[in-house]
Amino acid sequence: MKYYAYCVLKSWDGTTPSGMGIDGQTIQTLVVEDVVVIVSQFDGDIVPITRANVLLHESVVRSALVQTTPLPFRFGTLVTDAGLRSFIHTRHKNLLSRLAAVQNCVEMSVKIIWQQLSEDSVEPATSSEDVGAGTAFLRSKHQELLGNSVLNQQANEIGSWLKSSLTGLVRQEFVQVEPRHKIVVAAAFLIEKAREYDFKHSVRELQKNRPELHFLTSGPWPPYTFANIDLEFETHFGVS
Amino acid sequence: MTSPFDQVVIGSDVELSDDAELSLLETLDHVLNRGLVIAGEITISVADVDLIFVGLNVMVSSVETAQEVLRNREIRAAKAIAPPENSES
Repeated sequence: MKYYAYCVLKSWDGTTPSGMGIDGQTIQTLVVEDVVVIVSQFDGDIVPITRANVLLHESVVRSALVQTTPLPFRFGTLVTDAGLRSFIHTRHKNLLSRLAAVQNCVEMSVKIIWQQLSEDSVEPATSSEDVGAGTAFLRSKHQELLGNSVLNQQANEIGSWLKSSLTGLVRQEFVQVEPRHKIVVAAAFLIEKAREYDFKHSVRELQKNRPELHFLTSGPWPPYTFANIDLEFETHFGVS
Repeated sequence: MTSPFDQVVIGSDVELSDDAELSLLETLDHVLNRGLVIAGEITISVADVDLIFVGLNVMVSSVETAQEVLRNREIRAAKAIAPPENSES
């Protein structure tokens, strides 16, 4: 028998979260050293990705968010009792540090979709009728590189603009810029629960300023993006 | 003005409207791609299909669904502010 792990908490008021977990199992709280882990039992080796299971996972983690800020486990985490205790013991310092970092916070997600502005910005290739095949190839490569450069510049500008516009409101951010993707910026912001309204207001203002960009926003979330602890370890010689 | 933030819809009885579908995709993005990992302890499956393929599908459908929803919203908004058609005939 294994545990399906939902999240780790620093403190808990002692009440067991209501409702059922994955596979219809009862939700349990385990106290390991000085942290609390929310789990349910799971009889099997593989957790199927179904809509119901994904929503159940999120629902249990979200119920913890009402009381405190949890570190959510990724969907599908199955672990033995001994494995869980070993994980908490060996990562104890990092877990506490992460829990402190996300305390009283939620995650807000902002994704920006664009229509690759550079298509309008790059000069069209000149006619290759009067030049040889080699020259035409080099010209075409040159245009491609020029296009890539403009694309990267525009994408990075959007990422920097978003990040700098929200700096004062966030505790931590993760901004990913992908010039070649339609979702050009995928950002997650860790903000204090009390600043949720201000954050939303600021994003609304940003939307007004850049009507050419499509915003896909969601939240508040448990801090999924900010949950991973530092996996590096210090050796006996102090080398990371 | 409505908030740009779509409160994620939780529950298995949600109708798969555009917004609910977007919420589900956002949930998938968070729950499947992020979170605390115990190395080697994650084993998930969708009918024996490789997880990378599933992840890719989620990403592709996320973008497509998002664009579709945004397009529909724009069309609805345009219709809402368009002047009524001249009914001369």
